Amino acid sequence: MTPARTGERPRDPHAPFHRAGLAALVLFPAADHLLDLRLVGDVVPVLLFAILAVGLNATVGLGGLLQLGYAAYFAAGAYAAGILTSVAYPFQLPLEVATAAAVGAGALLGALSALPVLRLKGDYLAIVTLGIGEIVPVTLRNLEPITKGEFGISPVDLPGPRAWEDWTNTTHGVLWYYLALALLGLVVYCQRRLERSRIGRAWEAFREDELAASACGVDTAAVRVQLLAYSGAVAGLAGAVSASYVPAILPSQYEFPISAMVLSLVVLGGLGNWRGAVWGAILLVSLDRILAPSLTRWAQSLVGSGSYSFFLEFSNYRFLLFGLALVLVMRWRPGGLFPPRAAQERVG
Amino acid sequence: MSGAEVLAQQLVNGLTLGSVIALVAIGYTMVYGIIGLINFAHGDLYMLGAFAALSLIGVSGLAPGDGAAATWGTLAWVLVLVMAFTGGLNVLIERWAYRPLRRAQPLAPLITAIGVSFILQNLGMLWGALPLEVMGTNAVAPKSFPDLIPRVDLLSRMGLATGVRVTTKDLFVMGLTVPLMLGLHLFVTRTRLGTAMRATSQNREAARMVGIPADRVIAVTFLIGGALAGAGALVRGLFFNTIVFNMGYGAGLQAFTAAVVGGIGSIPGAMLGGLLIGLISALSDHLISARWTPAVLFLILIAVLVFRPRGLLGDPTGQKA
Repeated sequence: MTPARTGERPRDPHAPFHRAGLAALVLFPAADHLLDLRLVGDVVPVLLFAILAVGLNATVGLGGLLQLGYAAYFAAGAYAAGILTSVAYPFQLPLEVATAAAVGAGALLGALSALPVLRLKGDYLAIVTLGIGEIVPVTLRNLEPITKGEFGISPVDLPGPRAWEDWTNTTHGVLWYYLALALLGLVVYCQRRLERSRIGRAWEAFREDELAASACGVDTAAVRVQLLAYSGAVAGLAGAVSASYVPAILPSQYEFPISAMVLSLVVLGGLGNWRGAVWGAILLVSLDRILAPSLTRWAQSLVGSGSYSFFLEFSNYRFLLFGLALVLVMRWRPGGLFPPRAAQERVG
Repeated sequence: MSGAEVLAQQLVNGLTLGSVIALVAIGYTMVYGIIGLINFAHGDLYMLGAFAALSLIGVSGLAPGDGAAATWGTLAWVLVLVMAFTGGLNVLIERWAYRPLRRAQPLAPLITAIGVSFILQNLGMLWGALPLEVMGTNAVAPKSFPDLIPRVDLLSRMGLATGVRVTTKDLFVMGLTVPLMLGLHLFVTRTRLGTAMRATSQNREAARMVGIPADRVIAVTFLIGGALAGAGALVRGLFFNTIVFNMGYGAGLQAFTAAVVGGIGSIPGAMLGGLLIGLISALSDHLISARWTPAVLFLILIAVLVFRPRGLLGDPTGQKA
């Protein structure tokens, strides 16, 4: 079992790999510039997905609550940022203030969605979260006076002083990259502190055995509220940043496929392990967003675009591959692709 | 139309829709009852059933306006083949994806079911790109399903001058779904295998001890649930005349809601829940607005889970909740 005190933790045999990965992330824009890959801008959404994966990993991995409607909290953050900054609304606050509000909106929606599930666990809780994930986009589409319905909200404010308004310019992709990387670092830092705190250990105890945890004095209703509010806050942050990066909001960006995608990243990376969530997200989203389109171009250049070009489009196999990966990982490698040290003890 | 007639019309629409929902809901409730799994992939299996039905009708060359004998004869074998396809596929999915996880951690089967759901939905999308005439030119667009069942207004034929329309299409839906449900009820309550199924659902270990081959009974459960989804898919295609590769998700949620409202694990509960959800959808479409209906259904689902998790006819001991 995991030792109770952090000082007693054994050294992680994978630590050199994690350090090398971190160095690669920090140096990537330089390599991109030298090799003229022009991928920095494409990697920003990858990092935002990693933030989402770390946040969802708290609920599903640490707390053992299957959260199927995570996109709802992502939407809450994005719409909070959009409504507070866009010229279409009277507020027009700076993005920094709106981002704080977005974090709050995500946390508030998380805490509210814990209310119906204070006594539920397992499948039933999963279905309620799925329901919340459905109700939120329906509301966003149809509550036109507030959300502008299908039109969505644009433009969302950009970070920094107004003088920097050419942020979306490709030369500023590097700034976006480091902003996203810094936020990912911040989220990971919070997560590590939480994991080793009283709160995080209560979450793990709750996951392992709710009855035993409650006998030890863990307030299991409070744990549910904490878990959903915390992961909601992280999603709210990612929502505000991604809305500003795009910089537009459409209700279709916040539906079940996003929830499903983030859940796949968490499961494939390794439940209950933020490193797995980060590397799983970076690897899989890069494959999906960057490698797959180039493979498609390559395959189509070989065969030429005929009547079968639909079958040569790699993005048309995205969910087939994610689904297969989920099934195979659950069957053969339940600790995920990047299992934590004590994977057997934690998951088995 | 008077207010009463409008209401009566919504009742008719709701019952028709509800009996299709009930067929799909039975698949959820039987699987949940026997292995405690929310089979997330069930809605997508239903979608594949609709694609299989459309392809078979396309291959048979049946078209609207063909004679009654040809239409009914072809539809009968299409029904049998579609039910065999979805039932058999469901058995294979159980065998390869769910059975190895009987002793795994609690979230593993549910996550696997979500993975299977992705796979099936993606297969449906690729199916739509096959070079078949019925699939049209755009792979991901909704497919139009031939309108083979004539729509004759029965009440006006009988000389009743009301604004309410009960058509032969409604009658067709009832005529197919009601016997299937009755047959299932008789099978579960009157046969040896049905008794074994109920025993396995109550306590798998004890059932094994008295000599019931639990794995085979579970396979039969998936076969029946899948076959009923296939029948529902054909009926739905013939009634609404349009299918699309991502319809399984919404249809699955609707049917799952029905199963929970009726009491998950209870077959009569799924039938009752299906009819209720059909009625509520029809009334919500009419009284509020069709675009809010998904949210209304989910609020009902959440309310049932919070206030009465065992549903209307669920296990009174609450063990399945």
